[in-house]
Amino acid sequence: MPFDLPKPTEIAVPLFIILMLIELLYGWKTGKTRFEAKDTLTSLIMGTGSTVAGALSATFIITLSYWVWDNFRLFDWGYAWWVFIVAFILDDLAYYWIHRMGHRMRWMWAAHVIHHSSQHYNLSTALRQTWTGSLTPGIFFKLPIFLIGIDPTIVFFCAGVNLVYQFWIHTEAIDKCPRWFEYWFNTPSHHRVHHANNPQYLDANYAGVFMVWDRMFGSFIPEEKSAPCRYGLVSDLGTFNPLRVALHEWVGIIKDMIGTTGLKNKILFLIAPPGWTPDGSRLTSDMIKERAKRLEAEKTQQNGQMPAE
Amino acid sequence: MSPELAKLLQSLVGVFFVFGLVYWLFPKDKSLSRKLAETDFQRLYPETIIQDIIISDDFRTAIVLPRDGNNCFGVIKILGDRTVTKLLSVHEIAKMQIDPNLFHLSVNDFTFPSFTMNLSPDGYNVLNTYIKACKEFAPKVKIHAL
Repeated sequence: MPFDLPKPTEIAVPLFIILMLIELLYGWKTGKTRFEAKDTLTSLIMGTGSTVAGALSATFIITLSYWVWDNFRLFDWGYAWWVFIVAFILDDLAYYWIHRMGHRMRWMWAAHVIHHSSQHYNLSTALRQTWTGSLTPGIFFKLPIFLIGIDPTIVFFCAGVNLVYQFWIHTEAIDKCPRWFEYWFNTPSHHRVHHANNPQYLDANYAGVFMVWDRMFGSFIPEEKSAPCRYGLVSDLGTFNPLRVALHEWVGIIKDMIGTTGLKNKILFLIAPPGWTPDGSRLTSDMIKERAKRLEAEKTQQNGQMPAE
Repeated sequence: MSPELAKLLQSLVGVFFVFGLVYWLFPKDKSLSRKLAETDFQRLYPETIIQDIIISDDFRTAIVLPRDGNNCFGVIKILGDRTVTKLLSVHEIAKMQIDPNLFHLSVNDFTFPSFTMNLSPDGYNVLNTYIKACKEFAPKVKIHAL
């Protein structure tokens, strides 16, 4: 790398604080955004902890990325300005798939679940980040970018900018953006849907910056005024203890793997979607959506059969 | 002091400042209503018909009793203010004990291992009768008579 690149997330910290204070005062004045003290404290402690965990695992991630780039790269892209744009788009595509797998594979969900564990949706939720991301195979989704020859430092810089972008979309203070912006980019409205646990909104809107990935890969669901978002996990957490928040899904996986028989079931507890069990005793998001559709259809049918008064 | 440690301490000061501000500015309503308990329960169990809801004296916990006792059994607990709740279903319950004025649960949930709720005499009678009639769970419950 011929020059040093700054860390976007470190530069943006003052901006994060200012925006959060603005949102807080806006919520206090208007009641349009909600905060809960212990919930906010947990989110912020998780955010602080994630920077420590990230620093501890950075050596491994950087070493792996440079090993692939040094030894296996197919081309040399150099450091022109347009390489940053290509890197940003490719990194955002990789983010989309990491994020999607983060919801569809329990191993990756164990790390990502933390970000969804607040029952509130405000800028502090954006900072509620995982401590165990490096224990998942997420980095492997970025290896193709290094393989085609883009310097990992550029990719890490773009990933930082991507994360900074995603901060402002964690709010209820902004309703909808202009239509063209809503079409191309991730917005508070799209991301509210992503954080909602209403059955109709589950497993949608995985994009980081460019909403086109969701439109392209069939995971886009728009926010409906008639169905206000309800935030948090399908089965909510019963604690504000940061350690329990950080580790609860890993503990769940280990308990399930020990408690089941057969290697296939043990592996499926790791790679199948969250909620999967051999006997179907718990519900996956697909099952929850199916149930909601069935109940809605039954309700419509019953209403249709009701005689007019 | 190393710069990293200084940065970490600075972050922690910021964290507690924001916590203090939120605590000071926002409402702290900690009471659970029947409506909230019902909505929370039906979000997870939309097909279950509710027979009764027992709310604790301090309004922080509700026990939701479905019409079909073998279907599921819910406990809703307020964790922060009324906007942060936890719903436990009977599938997660490892041990239950009902005393004349206390209801105690041990739960297979890493985030919520156990909880105790004060019971009024009425609450005790309703819960006692309900649990005794519930064939699947009655054997697991230790009930002390009033």
